[in-house]
Amino acid sequence: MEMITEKIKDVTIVNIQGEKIDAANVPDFKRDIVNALPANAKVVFDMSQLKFVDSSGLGAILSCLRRLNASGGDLKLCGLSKSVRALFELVRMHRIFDICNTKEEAVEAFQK
Amino acid sequence: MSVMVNRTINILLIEDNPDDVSFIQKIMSEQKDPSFSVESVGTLSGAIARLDEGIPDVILLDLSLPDSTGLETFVKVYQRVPSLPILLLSGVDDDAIALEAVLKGAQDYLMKEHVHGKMLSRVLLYAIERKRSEEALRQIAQSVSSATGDAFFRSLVHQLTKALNMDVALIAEVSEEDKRKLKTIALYAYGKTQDNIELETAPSPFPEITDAKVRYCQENARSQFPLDPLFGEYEVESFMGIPLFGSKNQSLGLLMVMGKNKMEHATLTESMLQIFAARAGGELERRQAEKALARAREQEIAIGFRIQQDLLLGQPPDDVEGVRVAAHTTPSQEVDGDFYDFFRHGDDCFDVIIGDFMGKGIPAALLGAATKSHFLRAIGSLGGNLHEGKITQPEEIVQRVHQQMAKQLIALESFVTICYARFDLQKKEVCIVDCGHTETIHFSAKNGSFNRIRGENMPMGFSENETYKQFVIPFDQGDFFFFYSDGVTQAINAEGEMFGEERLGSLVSAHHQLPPQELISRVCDTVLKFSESSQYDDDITCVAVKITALKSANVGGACEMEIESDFNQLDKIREFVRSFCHRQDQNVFAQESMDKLEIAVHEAATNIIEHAYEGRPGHKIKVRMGVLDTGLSVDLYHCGRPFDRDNVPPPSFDGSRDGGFGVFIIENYADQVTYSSEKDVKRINLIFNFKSKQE
Repeated sequence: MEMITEKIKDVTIVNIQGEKIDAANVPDFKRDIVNALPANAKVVFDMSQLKFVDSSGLGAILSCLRRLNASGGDLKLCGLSKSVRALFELVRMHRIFDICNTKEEAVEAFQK
Repeated sequence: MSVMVNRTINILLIEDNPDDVSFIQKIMSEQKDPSFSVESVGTLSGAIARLDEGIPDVILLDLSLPDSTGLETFVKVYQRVPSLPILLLSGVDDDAIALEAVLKGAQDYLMKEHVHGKMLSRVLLYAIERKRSEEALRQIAQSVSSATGDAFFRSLVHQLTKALNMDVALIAEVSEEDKRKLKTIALYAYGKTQDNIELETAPSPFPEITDAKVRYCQENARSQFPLDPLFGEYEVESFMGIPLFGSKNQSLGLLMVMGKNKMEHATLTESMLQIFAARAGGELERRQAEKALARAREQEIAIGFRIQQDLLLGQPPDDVEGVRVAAHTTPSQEVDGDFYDFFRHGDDCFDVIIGDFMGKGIPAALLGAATKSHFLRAIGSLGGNLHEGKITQPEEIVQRVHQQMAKQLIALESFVTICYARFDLQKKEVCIVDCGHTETIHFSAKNGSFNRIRGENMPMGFSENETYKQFVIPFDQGDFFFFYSDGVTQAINAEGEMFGEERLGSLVSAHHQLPPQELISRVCDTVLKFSESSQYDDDITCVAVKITALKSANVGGACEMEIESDFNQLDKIREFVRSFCHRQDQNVFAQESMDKLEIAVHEAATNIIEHAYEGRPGHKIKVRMGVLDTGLSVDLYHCGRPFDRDNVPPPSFDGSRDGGFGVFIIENYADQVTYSSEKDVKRINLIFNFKSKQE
C-alpha cells in the first residue's frame, strides 16, 4: 500500500493512498506504514482519499497511535470522510485521537 | 373429697348474738373427722374486714346484724366472696328472705332452733362440696368455652384434674387405621401436659370404656390392672373413664381421670365427666372431620395440578418460522384455573389462547379444561382453512364458545377471562379478542416502547348477551407480545403496592432482546423479588411471543449474491449492498444510512470469513437482501461454525486493543440483529429501519 510522506515544520504528514483500509488490505497497510513512521515523531495521517475503513482498519490505525506514543511521538488524523468519522465516533476513538479537518490544522495543533 | 378428710374445716360465723355464737362453737367443737374451728364476728363490717385477712372454708351468716339486716347482708358478703359457700342462719321471722338468698347463691339456710352438731356438720360439708363442684364446673366451662381443637382438649384435661382433685386426666381417640388402638390427644399428669401416647389396650380398662361403658374404681386400681403400664407409671389408685360418642352414637374414644389416692365421690365425678363428655365428643368428631377434609383437600390439589398440567397447558409451537413462542406457569400453593394453548393454521399463522378462571381448585381446573375443549371444538366445527383464504375469525370462535358456556358459567356463578390472539406473519398483524383478560404488553421494536393492549369485552360468564369484537394490532420484526395471568401484575410488595402493568411493560421493554423463555424467567424472578416472598401467592402464567424475522420478499424484490470466503471479495458485497439500495426509492434511504448498512454487512461478512470459516478459503457466503414495509433486511448465510454471541468480549474504548469492534459496529448500525441456524445453515439477519427525515 502506497504511503506518500511530506514534512511540514517538524510534523510528518502521511498521505494514505487508496480508497479503503479493510480486512482485505489491512496486512499491507500494517506492513507499509511501519516504514513510513519515524520513531519519536509528530505524525499526521491524511485520510482524505479513504472512502471506507472497517473495524480492522480502525484497529490498525489505533496500533500506529500506540506505537508512536510508546516512542514519545504522537499521531493526529485529518481528512476523514463523514462515514469514517462517524465510525470513529461510534467506537469513541475521537476521544483517543486528535481528529482535525485538514493537515494544516493538524500541524497547527502540534505547535501548541 | 379427699382433701377435706384430714384437716380442720374453718368456719367464719357472722353472728351478733353471743348465745348463738357460744352454742355453735360448742356443738362444732364436739365434731371429729373432720373437725371444725369456729371464728366469729358480730358485725357485717367486721366480717368484711376479716375476709380481707384470709378466707375460711365456709361462712355461717345471720342476716340480722347491728349494721345490716335482711337480704342485703347476704348480698354484701356474697359479693365479697362469691366463690365461698355461705349458709344462712335464720329465725322464724326471716324465713322468706333466707329462701330468696338461696336463690341468689347461698348454699342453704338453717333454722337456728333446729341446728344440732351432726346435722350442721353434714350440711356444712355438703355445702362446701357442692360449692366446690359448682366452682369447678364454672371454671372448666369458662376456660374451655372459647377453646377449640387441641387447645380445647388440653384445657379440659388440665381443668378436670384441678376440679376433681385427680392427678391424671386424658382424652384418647380410637385410631382411624386400627379401631382396636387408642391414642391420647391430650394427657395431663401431675401438673404438666404430657406428650401424647398410644394406650395399651390389652390389660387395661380402656376397651370396655370405648365399648360404651363407664368404668371406675375408687381404690386399688392397680391390683385390678396390674399390667397396665400407664397405671404403673402414674401410680394409679383410682380412676374413672367414660366413653365419648359422635353425633351418630359412634364410639370415638374416652375421657378418663386417675388419681393416686382413693376416689371419694364417684357420683359427683361421673356427673362432672358426663357434662364435658358431650362437648369433648363433639370436638373429637369435628377434629376427625377436619382431618378428613384436609386429606381430601390435599388430594384435590394434587388432582388439580394434574389437570392443569395435562389438560390446561398446551405446547407452544416451536416450528413457526420467524417467531419464537414460550409459555410458562408457576403454580402457587393452590391450583388455579390458568390455562393456555396454541393452534397452528398453516406456516404463517397461529393462535394463542390464554385464560384465567375465577376460583381455584378442581372446580376451576375442570372449568378451564372444559373451556379449552370448547375452543378446540369451535375451531374444529367452524372449519375454515387458511389456504383457502377463509379461516374462521377469532371473534366467531370466541362467540361460539361463549354461546356454549355462558349459561353454565352464569349458573355456576363463575367466569373466565380470555385473551384470544391470532398471529398472522403474512399480514404482520395480530388479531385479538379480549374477554376481560389482563392487558397484553406489546413492545414495539420500531418505537422502542411498549403499549398496553386491552379490549372492550367482558369476561365470559358475565352476561349472556355479550357480542365479542376482535381488533387488529400490526407488528414488526423485533416486537414482543407478552400475555400473562393477573398473578403477575397483582403481586403485592411489603408496602402493599401492586406490581402493575407499567412495571411489567418497562421490564419487557428493557429485556426485549432476550429470547422469550428467558424474558419469562426474568419476569417471574422480578415478581418474586418484588413481593419479597419465597413463593408466589397466586399462579403466574406467562406466554411470550417474539417476532424474530419477517419474510423479506414481501414488498420489494429480493436479491441474492454469493461470495467465496476471501477478504478480497468483501468489496463485492459492499458493491451489491450499494447497488441494491440505489435501486430502491431514493427518498427511502439517506446516504448516511447506506454507509452504515454497507459497513454493518461488511463487518458481518468479515466475521463469517474470519471466525465461522476460520480464515479458510473456498467456502461460500450467501447474501440476500429484501425490502420490508419499514426497512431493509439483509440475510447472510454460511455453513461455518455457529456464532456464539455471548462469548464476544465487549470492545474496549480506551484504545488499548485493536480488535473487538466488529460486533459492536454491527449491532449499533443495524436496528436488529438475529443469529439463527437451521440444520447446517447459519444465518445472520440484519434489519435496517427506514428513518424519518428528522432522524
